[in-house]
Parts: sequence; structure tokens; C-alpha cells
Amino acid sequence: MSLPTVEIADVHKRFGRTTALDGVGFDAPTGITGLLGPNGAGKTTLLRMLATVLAPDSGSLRLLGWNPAVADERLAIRRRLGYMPQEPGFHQTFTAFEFVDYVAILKEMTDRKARHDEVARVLALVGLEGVMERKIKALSGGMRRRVALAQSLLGDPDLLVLDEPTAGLDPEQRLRFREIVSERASDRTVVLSTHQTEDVAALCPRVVVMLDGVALFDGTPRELTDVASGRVWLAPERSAAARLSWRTPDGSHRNIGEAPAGADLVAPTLEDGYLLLVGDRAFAEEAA
Amino acid sequence: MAVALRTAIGDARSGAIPSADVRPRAAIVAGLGRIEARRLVRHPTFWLGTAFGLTLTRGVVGAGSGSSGSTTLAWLAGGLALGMLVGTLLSANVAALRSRRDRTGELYGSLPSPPEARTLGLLTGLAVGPVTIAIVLAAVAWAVFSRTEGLAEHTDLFLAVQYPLAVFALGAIGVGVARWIPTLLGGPIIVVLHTMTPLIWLVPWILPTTSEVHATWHMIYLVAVPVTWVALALARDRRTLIRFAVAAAALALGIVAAVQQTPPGGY
Repeated sequence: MSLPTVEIADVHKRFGRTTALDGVGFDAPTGITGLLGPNGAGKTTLLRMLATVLAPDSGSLRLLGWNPAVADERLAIRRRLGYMPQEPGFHQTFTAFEFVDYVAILKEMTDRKARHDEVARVLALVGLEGVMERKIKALSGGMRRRVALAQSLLGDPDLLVLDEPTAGLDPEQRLRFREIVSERASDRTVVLSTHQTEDVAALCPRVVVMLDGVALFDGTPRELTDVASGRVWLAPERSAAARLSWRTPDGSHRNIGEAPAGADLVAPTLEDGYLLLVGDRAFAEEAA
Repeated sequence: MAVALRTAIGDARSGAIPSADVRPRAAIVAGLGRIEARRLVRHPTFWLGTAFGLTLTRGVVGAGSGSSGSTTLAWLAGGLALGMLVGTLLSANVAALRSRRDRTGELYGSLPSPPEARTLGLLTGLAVGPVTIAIVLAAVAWAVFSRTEGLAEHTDLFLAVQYPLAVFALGAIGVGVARWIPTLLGGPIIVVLHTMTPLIWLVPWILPTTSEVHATWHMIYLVAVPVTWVALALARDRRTLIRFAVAAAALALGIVAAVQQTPPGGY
């Protein structure tokens, strides 16, 4: 495993009375690290810190070897960073090309010809070459997400921070997204948050599960899947022993929890592991 | 004021990291300036305002000379400028509000260029777009007025020079107001304050020398106003003592110039 390019240690952040991060810490090496967690787990707050737009109350961060709390080092990080916020915001009256071009200028790409080539390249990469002269207000939600992704890819950054990049994308676009990101991950660091366990399973050699501002799990997707090993079974009805249960298309019930003796155990998925992990924590809190 | 205060408190509470302490590069400002210039002159408030000014001018010329040459010239000068000045103020104000309105602040905050780059880019856009158009219109108007019987003797270069200066000043007001009062109402309120109150008669923007204005003081006024607002706009991006000091000095000079330019007994 390569050296970590993102180092997060005991980071805390509060907004008024709300604790967003409560001592989160993990390292992310070169490659793709996926952040999973329910709404309010602190994923976006953490990604905003990795994007150098939010400072922690305490704890330390090092990104690409630099400390974002130091002005000069923060600038060095920003020069090598691509960031796609959860809600990127767009200038509605700009065309897709104009918007990405505007961001490219702010990314210090000052040579006009080279910049325009780069803007056209990233827009083509996300499949928007046919609509780049269309105003953003006329683009669909999925297309806008791709504009946001395109701007984050400008200049082929060393660190890519993507907050729910696949939200609102159709299955075909999600596959294209996986292709784009995985191509870049061989020698770059990508940290992405998502609610889609399929994306994590398909893309991330490393997954961190966050809940209530802490990193609840840090390991491989295989290890997360193994959390549910021996705890998923099929039954004709919802089992009383199940913490979670749903009816599958073939009419049987997929139960997750402590399997009763003799249960018809099935191979768990990453989603099972994630649900059980988050559910276990919720149950423990309830019991306490 | 309440909006400005609320915004400042909100920014402080958000825990946002200040931008890196770096001066915006000229090439970045120039690149942004090109984009902003195009957007400013295409903005409906600008071209509608300019068209309104031209129509008003044509109306005054077409009405014949019932008044004295100097009065007619004053109307022509003011009429031609009015729409463009209001249009520039409003379009610059809307452009300066764009980032907040469209919630791009978080994305821009992660980029290496400091916020001043965008402010300076917009001000450069003002100079490249509306001010250039003002120079062309002023040159044409000066050429026409100086060849028109009854107006020629009252027309001089002083009149023409005021157009681009006033356009830049009003644009700078639009930018500065947007930075400190980040609401779409800010621009229209300034317009109403300046056109619907006695303020427009106390400190007019475009004045022929025949109105006995003290020309030098008026020019100082036209320079002091944009310097004040540019310094205030940049101080919003990064609060430094020097920026507030420049704004305060320019404001003081502007007030002195506004008082001194007025001839005894008014215009």
C-alpha cells in the first residue's frame, strides 16, 4: 500500500450545539476511498475539510503532505485539488463551457488556447460535448452533476474530493462515472462519499463507514461485507430475529440480524454489511 | 446595514477557512475581465438602459431648441448618460451577487484564486465593456454636439471625459454595494435613492462646464467615488487596514469634492 496522501487525526467539528465530527480519524492512500454513512453522519463536513473550505475545531489534517491550516500550504493543496461539492451551485445563465472555463481561470489556467482545450476535454470526458454551448438552466439535473464533475477534473488533480458524485445520475451515467474515476485512481487519490453501496463495491478498494461524526469502520469492501457473514438468511416470512427484513421479488424475505438455528443462510452483500454495522450501532445506542 | 451585519456574522460562524494569502495574478484578472465584460454588456439592464438614453437624447434633439443651448446640452448630457449609468449599476450589482445567489462560494473557496480575483475581474470587465462603450458614445456625442448650432459653443472635452468616469463609478458602486449588502434589492435601492431624491441635484454625475460647476472638483469627485467603492469591495473580500484606510480617505475626498464642485447658489 502506498503512503497516505490524506491523513485525518482526531478531527472535531461543532456547528452550534450540533456535533458534526466527533474525533474522526483515518488515512487515505493513493486510490479510491469511499465514505459511506447515513444522512447527518458527517461525511459532507469531512469532505469540506478535505476541500480546504472548512477548518476543524480541533484535530489535524494533512493533505498531499501539506497542512491546510497553513496559508502557503493550503494554496499548494488547492492547486492540486479537484472538488465536487454536494450542492455545487451553478451560474444558470452561463453555458456549460463558460462555467467550466470560469472555474478553469480560477484554477490559474491562464493560457487561453490551452484552457479552452482542457475545458473541452473534461466536458467530453463526462459526455457533455454535445451540449457544452447550452445554458446550464436548460440542462437536466444529471447533466448539471456532470458539469460539476467536469470542473473537478480540470487539470487532472492529484486529490479528487467528490461529494455524492453519482446522485441523480442514471445507470449508464454511473457506469461512465466509474470508468472516469477508476482511470484516474491508479496514481491519484480520490475520496468520495455516496449512499450507493454498489458504487463502493464497484470502485473502492477502501471504505470508511461514518456514523454520528466518527469512523465506525475502516477496511476493504470485502471486510465490510464479512460483517454480515452468517447473519443474512432467506425465509418465507419476516423473521422476528431480524433487525432488517424486506420482501424480495421472488416472494421470500431477506432477513438481516442474528440468524436463528437452521436458517437458510445466503451470501451477504456489501449493503448487508453496511446496514448491519449501522444498525448494530443504532441498537447499541438504543439499549444504552 | 442589517443584511451586511448578518452576512458578516454568518461568515464568521461558518468556520470557513480564509482564502490563501495570495495576490490575484494579472492574467487571471484579465481572463475573468473578458468574461465579465461580455456578460455586463449583454445584460438586459445595461443595453436597455443605454438604448433608453439614446432614445431620450434623440427626443431632446428632435424637439428643437426651445431653451438655451446650455440647458439643452445639460438635458442631452444627462439624458444620454442616465440609462447607461443606471444600467451599469444594476448589471454590475447583479454580477457581483452571482456567486452568493448561485451558491458557488463553496466551490470557489476550494480554488487557488482568492476572492479578490473575482472582484477585480468584474471591475476589469466594467472597464473593458461598459466603460469602452461609454467612451465611444461620448466621442460620438461630443463630435455631434460640437458641430450642432447652439450647442457647439457649450461643448468641450470635459463633458466627454465624464461619461466613462461616471459609468465606472456607478459600476463600482454596484459591485461595492453587492459585496456588503448581498441582496438583489441593494442595487435598485441605490438607484431610487439617487434618482428619486434631491441627491441627484446635489451631486449630479454629468455636468457641462456651462453649469458653472467647478470642473476640477467634479473630476476629483468622479475619481473618489469609484476608489471608495473599489476599496470597500476589496475590503469585503479581505479585511485589511490599508483597504479601509483607502476607502475612508477617498470617501472624505469625495465629500469635500461634492461640496466644492457645487457653484454658489446651486447649478
